[in-house]
Amino acid sequence: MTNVRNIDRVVIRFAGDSGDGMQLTGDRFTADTAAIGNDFSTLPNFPAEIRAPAGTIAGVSSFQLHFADFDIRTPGDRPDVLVAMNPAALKANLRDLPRGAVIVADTHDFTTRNLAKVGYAANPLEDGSLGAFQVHALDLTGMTVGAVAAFGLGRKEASRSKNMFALGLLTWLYSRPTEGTEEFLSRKFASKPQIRDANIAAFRAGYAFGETTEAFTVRYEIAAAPMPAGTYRQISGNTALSYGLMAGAAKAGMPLYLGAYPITPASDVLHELSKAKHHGVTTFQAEDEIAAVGAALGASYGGALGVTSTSGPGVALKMETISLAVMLELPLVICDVQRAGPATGMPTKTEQADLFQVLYGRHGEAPVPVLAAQSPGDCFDIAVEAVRIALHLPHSGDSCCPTATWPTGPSRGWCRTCRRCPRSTPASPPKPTARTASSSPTCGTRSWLGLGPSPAPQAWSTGSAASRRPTRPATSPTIRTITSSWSSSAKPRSTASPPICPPWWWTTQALSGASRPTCSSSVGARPTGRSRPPCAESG
Amino acid sequence: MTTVNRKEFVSDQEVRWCPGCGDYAVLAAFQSLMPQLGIKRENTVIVSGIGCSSRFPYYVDSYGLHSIHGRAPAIATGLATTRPDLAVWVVTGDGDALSIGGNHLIHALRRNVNITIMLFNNRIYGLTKGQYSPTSEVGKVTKSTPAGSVDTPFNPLSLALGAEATFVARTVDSNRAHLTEVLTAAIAHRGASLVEIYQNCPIFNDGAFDDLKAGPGLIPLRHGEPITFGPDQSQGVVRSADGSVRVVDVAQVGLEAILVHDAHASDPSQAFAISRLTDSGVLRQAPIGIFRNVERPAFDDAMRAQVSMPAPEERLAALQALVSGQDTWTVA
Repeated sequence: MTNVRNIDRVVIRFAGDSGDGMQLTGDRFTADTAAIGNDFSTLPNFPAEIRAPAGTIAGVSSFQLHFADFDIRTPGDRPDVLVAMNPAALKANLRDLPRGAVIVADTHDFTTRNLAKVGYAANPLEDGSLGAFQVHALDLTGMTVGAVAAFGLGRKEASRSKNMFALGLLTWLYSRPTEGTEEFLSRKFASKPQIRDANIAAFRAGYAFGETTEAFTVRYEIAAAPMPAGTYRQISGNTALSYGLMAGAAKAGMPLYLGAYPITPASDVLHELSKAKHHGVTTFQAEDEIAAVGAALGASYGGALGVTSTSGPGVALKMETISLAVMLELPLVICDVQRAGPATGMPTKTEQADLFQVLYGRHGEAPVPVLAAQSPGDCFDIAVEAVRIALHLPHSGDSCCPTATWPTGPSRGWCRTCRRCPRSTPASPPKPTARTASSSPTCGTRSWLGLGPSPAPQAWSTGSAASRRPTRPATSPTIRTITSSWSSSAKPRSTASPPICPPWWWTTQALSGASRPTCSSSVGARPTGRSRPPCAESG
Repeated sequence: MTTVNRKEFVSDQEVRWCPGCGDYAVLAAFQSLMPQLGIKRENTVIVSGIGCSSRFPYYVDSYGLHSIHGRAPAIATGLATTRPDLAVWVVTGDGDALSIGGNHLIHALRRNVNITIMLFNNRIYGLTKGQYSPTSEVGKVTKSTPAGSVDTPFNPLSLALGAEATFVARTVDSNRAHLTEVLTAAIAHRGASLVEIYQNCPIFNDGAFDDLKAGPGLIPLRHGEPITFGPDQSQGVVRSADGSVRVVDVAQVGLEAILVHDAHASDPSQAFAISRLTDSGVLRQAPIGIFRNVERPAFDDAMRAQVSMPAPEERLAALQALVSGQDTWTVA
C-alpha cells in the first residue's frame, strides 16, 4: 500500500540525451503543475551543440522544475529527484544531488558501451556507489516498448516514447492530473495517429506502473499555492518581452521596428516579432549587430519605435550607436537577453553579469535608463515600461535598456496576464513584489491594454511609390513638415500615457544627477517637424 | 505652387572644408540639382558617417544625420524601410564606406535598399590628417606608411558590382554637368544607387586625379553607344577573347568592332569588365558614367508589402487576443 505524504516543495530534474525529449517532458510536467495551482520556477539547461554526440556528457539536456505550495522565486539549487535517462545524464548531474535524493534511472541505456563513453568503469546502479541516494533502477525503455507494442512501430520509434513513460511515472508519484498531457499529445500528434497513440499509451503505462509497482512506498502531494485571482497562461521571457514591446508600441500608436542579428538566447524575440507583421511590426535581420541597432535608430528617426534585441556580445558592439541615440534624443529600446561569460560566452547558459556593461558601457557621457526584469512574466511589463520611458523621457527621448535578466533567457515561467504591476506599490523595497497583489487596480497588464483611446489615428503607410519623388507638390517649403500619413507625431499624446508608476529605482539609480544631452547643430533633428522642430531652430 | 530654388537647400552653417576641396563642387551641384528634381527639402534626408565628406548634411537645409563611422548605410536602411516618402541619401567616403563600413555598404547594395549613396573617393584619409585609405595605390607614402603602403586597394565599382548592386556609376568633382547627370539618374533609380565621385583632397592627396583629368584617360560611358574616348574619339574599348575588355586604337579595329555600352544588361559581367579598366595605381585611365542601371524590386518595398497595421481601434484587441493565447486557466 502506497502512503500519501504531503510536502510543501520539491525540486525535480529531468535529464537525458539531447534527443530524449527532456525539454518537452519538463514542459508538460510544468503545465500539469500549473493546473494544480502550485507556484513554481523552471530552469531548462541544454547543450550548445545542435546535435551533440549521443550518450556523451556534452549532449546532456536537462529541465529542472521547482514547485511548492507557497511563493517561490528560484528553480532551486539541489534537485530532490533526478530522472536520468542514460549514464551521461547521471554523471553530469550527480554532484548536484543532496544526500537522500531520489534517482530514477533508465537501466536500458546503462550498457557497457554507454558507461565507458562517460568514464564509468562499473555500473554505478549496481556497484553500490549510489548508497547515499534512493535509487530506482527501472527499464523504462523496455517497459515503454512493451506498452506501445500494439501500435506497430519499429523498436527505435517505440522507444522514443520513453520520456512519456517517465513523465507518467512522475505524474503518478507527485499526484499530478493526467488530462492536460493527454490532450496535449492528442493535439501535437493529431496528424500522426500512430505516434499519438503510442505516446499516450506510454504515458498511461508509466502512470499505471507507479500505481502497481511496489518500488515506491510513498506518493507525494503538494497543495496549491495561494495565487491572486485571475487568468493565467504559460509564457517564456522572450515571448513576454516581444508582446510587451508590441503593447508599448500599440499604446503609443506607433509602428514597431525591430532590427536584430540572430544571437542565442535573444533570437526568440526576432522570431516572435517576425510572426507579428500583421500587427504593424517590421523586423529586419541585419548583416551584423551594429547594423541592427543602426537600422532601429534609423527607423526611430523616421517616426517608428526602434527596438533592437541581442545578448551581451551584441550589446558591446552596439554601444556606439546607443550613445548616438542618446545624443540625438531619439527613442530606442535595447533588449539584452543575457548569456553567461565574457567574449562569445556561453550562449545556452544564463548569467546576470551585464549590468555594468549596460549601465556604464558607453564612452563619454551617455546615460541610459536601465530596467531589469525579475521574472519571465515581468518581461511584459518591463518592455512596456521601457517603451514608455524611451518615448517620454523628458528632454531626451533617448534610449532605454531593459536588461532581461536570468529568467528571460531560455528559462521559462508564467505570466499572469491579470497580474498587477509590481511597481505600482509606492516606495517599495528595491525588489519588486511581483507575487504580492497590489492595491492599485490600474497597473495590471489587462487593464493596461484596456486603457482609453490610443493617440490620433495614424494610418499605416504601406505605399510603394513608383519613384522616390514625393507625390505631393511642394506647397510650402518653409514649413518643416513631412507629408507622411503617420508622421503627425512621433511621440504619443500625453493622453496615451500609460498609468504605470514611475520606476523609482532607475530614476534614482541610473539617472540621478545625469547631465541631459543637448543638441547644438541642425543635424540630428527628427524628420517629424511639427512635433519636434530641428535643433537649429529651437536653439 | 511655389517653385523651389537652390537657396532653400543652403543651410545657415558655415561650410568648413579646406579651401580648394573637391567637396565644394559636389555640394554646389547637389544644391542646384535638388530643386530641379522637385524633391522638397523636408522630404530629403541625408545620412552621413564620419569623415570630411560626412560634414555634407550640415550644409544642406534638409533633414540629416551626421552619424557614426561607417554606419550610415545601416541607419539609412532603417529610415528608408520605415519611410517610403523620403529621398534618402548617404554621403560617405572611401574610408567610411570601404574600410570601417564595408560590411554595411555591400549589404545595402545587395538588398537593394532604396537609398542613393554618394561615395567621395579622394584616395586618402583626410579628417585624420593623411593616412592611406582602402583606395590608395600600393606604395603610397603617408604618415602611417613612411615606407610605402603594401595594401592592394579596392576598386569600389568592382566591389559594388560583385555585391549585386543595381545602380553603379562614377563621376568626377570637376565636371559639374556630368556630376549632375549621374546624380539625377541615381536618385531616379528605385533601389540602391552607388555613385563614386573622384574628389581631390588639396591638402593630403593633391593632384591624385590630375593625370586622369589632364590626359585622355577618362572613358565616358553612354548607354547604347560605342565606348570611345580621347582626342577625336580615337581610342575605343573592345572585348578580348577571355571576356575582359581592353583599350585599342579605333582606326586599327574599325568603329564597328568597338564595344557598345549596355548599362541595362541583366548580367553584370560586362560592367565588371569595364570597371577593371580603372588604374589601381596612379590614375591615368578610368571609365566614368553609369556602369550598370537595372531594375530589381527594392528591399524596402518588398519589406513593407509583408507588413500591415490593424486599424487603431482593432490594434489593442488583436494584441490582447495574442497575449491571452489559447491555453489559459483561471484562479478564482
